[in-house]
Amino acid sequence: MLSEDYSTIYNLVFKRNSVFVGSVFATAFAFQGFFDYGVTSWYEAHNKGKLWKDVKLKLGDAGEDEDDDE
Amino acid sequence: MSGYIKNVVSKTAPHVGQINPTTVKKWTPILGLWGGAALFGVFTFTEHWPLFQQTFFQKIPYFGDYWVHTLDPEDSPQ
Repeated sequence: MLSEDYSTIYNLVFKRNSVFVGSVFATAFAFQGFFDYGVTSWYEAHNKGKLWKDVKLKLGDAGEDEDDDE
Repeated sequence: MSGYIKNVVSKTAPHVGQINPTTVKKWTPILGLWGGAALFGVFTFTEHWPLFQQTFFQKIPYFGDYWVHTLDPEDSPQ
């Protein structure tokens, strides 16, 4: 069963160098997008409340009053 | 008198330089697959290039929104 899987992968990907190189690039293209999305999601969840998009909402509530004082 | 070969009769296949139907048939799938590999290579190295993002990547179904960057006008430096 396992050796059949290896044969399938070999025949689909590794047999022709052009397909191998193409699948490396395709995987790299997909991976850099998914990796960036994943890291950004984690970063924004980890720093929730400190990010500009969160602070901006707080400033929007109180910001106009502060402007009147000056 | 059976026929005998008087001299060698040969025809030249249509060709452009070294290229003839046989070589075209042989090389079309090879170069086609390399072309596809090169296309993915170009995509990989232009993923952060705004022109390519707007022209190609934003139009990828479902995943295209990843390359759509929206910025509120009050946050834009311009």
